[in-house]
Amino acid sequence: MGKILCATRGGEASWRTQDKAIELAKERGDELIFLYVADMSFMDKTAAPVVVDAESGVKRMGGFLLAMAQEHAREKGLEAQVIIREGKTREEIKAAAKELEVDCVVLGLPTEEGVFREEAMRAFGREIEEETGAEVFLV
Amino acid sequence: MGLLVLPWASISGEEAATLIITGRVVDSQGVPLEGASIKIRVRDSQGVFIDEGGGATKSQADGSFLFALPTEIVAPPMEGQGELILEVSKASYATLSQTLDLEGMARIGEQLYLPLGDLILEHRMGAAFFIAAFAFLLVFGFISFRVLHETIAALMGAVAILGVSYLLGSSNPDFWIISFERAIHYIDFNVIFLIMGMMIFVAVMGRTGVFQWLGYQAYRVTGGNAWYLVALLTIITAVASAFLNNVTIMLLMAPVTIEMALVLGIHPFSLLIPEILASNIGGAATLIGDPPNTLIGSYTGLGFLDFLLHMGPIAMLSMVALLVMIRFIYGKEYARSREMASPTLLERLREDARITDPGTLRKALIMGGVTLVLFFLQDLLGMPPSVVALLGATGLLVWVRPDIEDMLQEVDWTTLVFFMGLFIVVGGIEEVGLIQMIAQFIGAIAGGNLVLATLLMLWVAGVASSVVDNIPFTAAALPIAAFLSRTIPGAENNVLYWALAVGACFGGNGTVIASAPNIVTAGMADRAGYHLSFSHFLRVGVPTTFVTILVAMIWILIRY
Repeated sequence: MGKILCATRGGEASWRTQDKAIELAKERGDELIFLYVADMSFMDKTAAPVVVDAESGVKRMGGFLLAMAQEHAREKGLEAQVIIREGKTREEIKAAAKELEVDCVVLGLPTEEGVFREEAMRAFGREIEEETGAEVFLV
Repeated sequence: MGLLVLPWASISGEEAATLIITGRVVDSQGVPLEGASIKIRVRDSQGVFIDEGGGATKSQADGSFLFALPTEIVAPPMEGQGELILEVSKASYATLSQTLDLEGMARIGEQLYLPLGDLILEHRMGAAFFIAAFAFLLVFGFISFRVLHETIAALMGAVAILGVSYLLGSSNPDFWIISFERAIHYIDFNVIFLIMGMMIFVAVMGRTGVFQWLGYQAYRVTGGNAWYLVALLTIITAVASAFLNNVTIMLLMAPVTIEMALVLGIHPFSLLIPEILASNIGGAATLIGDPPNTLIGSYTGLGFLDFLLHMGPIAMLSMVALLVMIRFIYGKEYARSREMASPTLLERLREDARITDPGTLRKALIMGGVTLVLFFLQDLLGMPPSVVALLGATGLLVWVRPDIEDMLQEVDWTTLVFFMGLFIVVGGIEEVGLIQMIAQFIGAIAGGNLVLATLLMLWVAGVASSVVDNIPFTAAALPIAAFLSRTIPGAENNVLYWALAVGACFGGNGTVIASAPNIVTAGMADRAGYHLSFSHFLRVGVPTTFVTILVAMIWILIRY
């Protein structure tokens, strides 16, 4: 039994990606793991005083979003695992794929940001394949 | 000056020991100029300079100077054999050179006195002017369009201004912008310590989970009715933002708000965007709610109570307008709401929104109450707001006894450095006369009409703060408001400062990049998979900004 890693944030745009990951896991009989990365790099855009642990809030929200993803999978007859990591999204996805020794990584393509972002995402997919040996599905 | 009739020694019949020359150096707006160099030179009747008059002196902080000359040096001019020439020079100003009229001399005791009154220096647009202006525009652009981190941009500007002054200005005065001592003088430590004190306060409060709990209570009380929920959430956000930093409020409220929206099955933006708008409006109500107000309060000496009495009603009226607009914009979305039946997610929501440290919360609320009372009494006690904030924050630290290393790490030093750098950059353009030039231009447009000046201040601040960062804008606009308040009849009631505060704070609602709460909330939403685009925010932000500033304008015109 293999492992499928689905990096997700939980918005409407992620539902398609989650559906694809659930479908793949059921088809292949693999274990499905939803990954949420608490990436706080958006905080670098302002010098406004940040004196609270904003990362904890993002992680709690990530836990909630993963719980939604789990429920979604359950409704489709699959029990999924969840994992939350902190750091830069790209690095953490690769690190999780390596550490969990997954066979397959499912990622969502950007829907709003145009061709350039899509190209960058495809390049990232190739990078994961090269570095981890896992097969990458872009949805 | 050969017109002097009386020999100098005959004023009292015996020789005087010293001639004391006094005066005040001011700019064209009557603002005292510190550090101007004053020199007296003696020229004989052939026009040849025969004496430098005993060196030079510098004007004091109030622009005043006192020059003591031994009478033997000035003997020839006093006997009608030449002239005394006064030269006043300062970097970025045209040198003033004038012949002294010795007929105004008076003798008191053994001294002769010559009071000169105000000596006006006119700005000169030299290399220093353009370099300082360029540095300011660069910093302003970098901050507003997020090219560089705000702190790095402000620090870069400050260092550029000081670097040019010392590297080039020390050999060529045309390049002299500002000295290090003068730059430090521009840093408003009242603002720095007030922000620092409130940071400590909010850091302790933030650890208790109270804001997340309040958000969840709003959900519970309204029974999941989306419209009632958003109304309550916006009010909670506005009130909290009036007393605590609105960026922190949004950082704490946004995750729980997103979870509530998902439970209700509505788009998170329909709750998040009203909260952002409310945080900027609520922050306008008090001295400590939003950095532009803190800057204005410190610059003008307007206290906590002044802000609450003048800005509070404006914020409340604008909140009513905001709620009407939200209903209009998101009414259909709220109608779609449904309560998700998932007990797991509801339980998770409740768990995410619980009070984590009731003991600390109780202490923080008590100290918060004491601090609030001190803010109200601040004028009566003559206590600067920074001292009030530090008293409250330190009292809280002593009582709560958190790990001080942790606590000091939680003070966001980058913000404090940002403000220091910004103050120096704005000081630089004030020194070279750019601020005064803009003030004179706006004053000329207003033509002494207070209503026109108020409308200009309000709408220019509103539009500018929608596009560029409202903190550097306010820092640069304050001396302009001060000039107009001094020169326009009737402006002594501080109406121009209130107009600036409204414009700068409400303008923060115009675009997603206009203020820090907008940026961090957009970042939070993005982490939940909801990309808040510039155009999406614009569609809600621009009409809201327009309507709330309009409401404020009507109130200001009626009240003042």
